[in-house]
Amino acid sequence: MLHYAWRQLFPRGGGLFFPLATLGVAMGVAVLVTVLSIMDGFQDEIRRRLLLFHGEVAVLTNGPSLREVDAVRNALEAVEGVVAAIPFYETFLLLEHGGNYAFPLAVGLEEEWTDVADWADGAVSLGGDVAEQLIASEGDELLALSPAQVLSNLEGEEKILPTTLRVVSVPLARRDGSDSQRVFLPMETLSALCLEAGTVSGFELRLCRGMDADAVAKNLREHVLGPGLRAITWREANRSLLSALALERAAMFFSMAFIVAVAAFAMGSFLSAHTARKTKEMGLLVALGCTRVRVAICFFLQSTIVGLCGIFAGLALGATLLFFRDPILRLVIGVFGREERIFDYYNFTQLPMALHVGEIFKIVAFALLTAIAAGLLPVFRVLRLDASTALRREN
Amino acid sequence: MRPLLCAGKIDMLLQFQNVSLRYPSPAEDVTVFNGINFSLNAGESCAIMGQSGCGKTSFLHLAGGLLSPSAGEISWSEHGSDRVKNGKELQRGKWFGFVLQQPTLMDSMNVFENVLFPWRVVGDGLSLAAAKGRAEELLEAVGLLARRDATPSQLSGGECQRIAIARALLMRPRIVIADEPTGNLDFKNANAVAELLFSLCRNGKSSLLLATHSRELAQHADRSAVIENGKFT
Repeated sequence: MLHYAWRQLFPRGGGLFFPLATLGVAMGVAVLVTVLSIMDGFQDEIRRRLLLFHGEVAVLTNGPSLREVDAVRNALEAVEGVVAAIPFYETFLLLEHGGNYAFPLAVGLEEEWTDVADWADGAVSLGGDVAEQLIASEGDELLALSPAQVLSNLEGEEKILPTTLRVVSVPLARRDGSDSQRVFLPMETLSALCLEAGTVSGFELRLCRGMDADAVAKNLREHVLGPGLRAITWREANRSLLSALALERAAMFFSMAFIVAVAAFAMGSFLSAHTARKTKEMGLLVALGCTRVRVAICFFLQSTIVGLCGIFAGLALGATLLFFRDPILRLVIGVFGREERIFDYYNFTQLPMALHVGEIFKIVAFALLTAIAAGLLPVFRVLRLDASTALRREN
Repeated sequence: MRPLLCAGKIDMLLQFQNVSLRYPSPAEDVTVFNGINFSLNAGESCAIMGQSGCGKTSFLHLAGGLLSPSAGEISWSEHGSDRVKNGKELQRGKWFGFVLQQPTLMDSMNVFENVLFPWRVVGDGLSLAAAKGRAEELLEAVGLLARRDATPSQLSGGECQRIAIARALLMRPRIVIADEPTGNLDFKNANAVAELLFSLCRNGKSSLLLATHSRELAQHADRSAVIENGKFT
């Protein structure tokens, strides 16, 4: 009966069912793989940028700055899962560049904290919104004064001159979470500006790979931190942005999954019509001694084979689309002329992509189950077949 | 034409004993047969005749084990072995070959694959090489060996019916059941197909149970029976 199933898929004289059905499933799988990989890439890239100057968990003061830095740092680094507790200091700075002014929140971090190049005394990383306000970019020099320096200049006779800061990066896009409205400097630079050495606003905690940030934050809240300190995870700090991304991803999956479902059920309806047309033939098969179950398995095998071939073709097609995603995207948006909006909005230079094995497995399982379910439609018809009635049919 | 015989013989392949058949219906059950008796011996051919709707096809389906009687008993036996009373217990592919009014060839396969197909369903006891040899032999006998690679859509009605006959005889069935095999053919083709069917059955020692309206066709058979009002007359 395998031969019979094979011939139904590849009849003598040629047939279009197999290539068309396979193409339908393949396109659905390819679209799912491509869209979800790009969405996951967006999420991973945004996660990377959100954690550029932050740890997975932040410990913040509820009131004045901390002075017992070493004691608190040691206590935090003793917590299970915490690799390092990096102190940071926050204050507002007055910045000026080319006659443009900004008053952002400045965050001072220790030098070994970040991967930003040229991170040394006098360096500054600008958030996208701040860079836009100052009309500044990488390599420019800014003048900076802290509120303490401004007050000192107002009150004292000796004037403190602004400090020159060198822009080393603008890593965060406009509207890229709250960090796009901040600036980041080495701790020693900010401490010198603020005339307040030895105090911190909190600690950024780096965790072990794979450690659950929520579990660590809960542990800190319940067992470690006293009044005056609170723990917040990076997800809680960026809840609205991450929620929007998650909702967008879910909506895309929901929409794209219908493509696979439609393709599979189009195949199922064709097979159902096919079994209806072949009723007399199937009656003859049963009359010759083939059981209904074997005949049903033949049709079931057809949909399963189409599903499997479609899945493999779809994965190959999806991998190809992902490999050439940037040229394809530039070709498409070049037609609509919106390149600036798409890339500039997130400050991306190429479309991000992340292939997660678990997601691929889910897509494969979904497509295969849908193809199998579609194959059950003709199976039920065949199992109810009465050979005598079938043989009487006029084709 | 010889009248119907009901006497038992040693090699009686098929036997109906007091068989009735009724089809359920919302208003009132439809009685097709009421207490018929029939037997078919090895190598014998029998033509079943009657008006349209008298139950010829139902009789063939009962004989082929595709229907169960409402009352009475149908049994099959070979060379004096124990009689089988349930059609589902028969090795159908070895007992029966079917030739229908419409050839019902599989259009996804070529001629050779169609003839070989019963082996793929039944298979055991015969090697693929032997089955292929038998298929070629039958195609030669029906005069279509040269068309072995053609598809059914490329054949005429008469050619398709010859292929169906070859297919029915591949596994040397005990009984060939033919339901109006020439019903869709013109006079010339009908005669040719009928002669082929009878001669191949005789040569292959298969019994033939044939339903037909045609007296000319029935005359080829060893005996005939007419169904009227649910009984043989």
